[in-house]
Amino acid sequence: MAGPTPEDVFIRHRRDIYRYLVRMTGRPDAADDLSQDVFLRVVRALRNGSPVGHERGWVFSIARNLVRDRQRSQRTGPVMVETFNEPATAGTQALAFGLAEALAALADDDREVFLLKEIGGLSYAEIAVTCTCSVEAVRSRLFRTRAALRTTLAVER
Amino acid sequence: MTDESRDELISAALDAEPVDVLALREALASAGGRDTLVSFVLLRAAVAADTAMPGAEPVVNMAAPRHPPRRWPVVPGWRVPVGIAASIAMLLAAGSFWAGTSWPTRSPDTAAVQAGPSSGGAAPSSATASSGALRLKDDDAPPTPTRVLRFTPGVDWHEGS
Repeated sequence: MAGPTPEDVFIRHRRDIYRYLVRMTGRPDAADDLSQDVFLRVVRALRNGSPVGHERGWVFSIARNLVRDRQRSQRTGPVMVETFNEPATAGTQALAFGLAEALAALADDDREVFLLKEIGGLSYAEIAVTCTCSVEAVRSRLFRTRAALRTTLAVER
Repeated sequence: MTDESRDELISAALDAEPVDVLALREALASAGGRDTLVSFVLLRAAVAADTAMPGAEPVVNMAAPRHPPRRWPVVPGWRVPVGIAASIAMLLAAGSFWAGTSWPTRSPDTAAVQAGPSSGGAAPSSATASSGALRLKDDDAPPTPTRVLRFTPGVDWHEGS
């Protein structure tokens, strides 16, 4: 059975990869550049016949590594944030406005794990492999991040 | 069960990770546990409502290699665009036409004027120097005729006649 084509992978994951990258970098232009790099690597790997494994985890691993490389090369300080003024529903309106800033205030490791779960939809095991940590560490880090965001955003019923 | 362990259990259950079901029931039995669940659900909804979208164009065009757009049609083998080459050709043609009409030229008729000393005493048929039509320098004068033929009506001009 043939593996996925680059076009299929691009269509399936393009939007969520971009969302992940824009929340990790805080900059849509950087997210655009990194998105291109992600799918260029996907194309090269598929044409070379490299094993993919779990496709979504693999693509997000590439994205995560590129973000890390960019952070190391730029030695960034606080993440710049660009807010989006089009909240989706009334129930999450207040949350949407503050979410970008709250995410930017997180430590890189915590933000990374949170976004891999919430946007990437990866399992704890996949996140552990991607971030080279244990499943228990992923579970603990996710909980702490959610608790911090809840406090920052004052999320209430 | 502490509040922190309770909330961590609820967080893992929200992610569909394997948890102790009895412990989960105990966690959700408390108001604090239910508030935690709702707040985590709202947080997830806020992230899902994220409006960040990539641009309309594909991020990576994997169809064809990209080439810079050409603005001029170029004849193969030439580096000069056709439009500029045509303009140059027109200028050259116009210049040649102007050069041809304005430069003085020499023809055999106009050159047959005041000749040097001749052996047959033939009078030049064209204009002489005294006519004022054309005055030539000595080096422009035709060569001295070596033989003069005089044509007289009624006389057989064949040699030997």
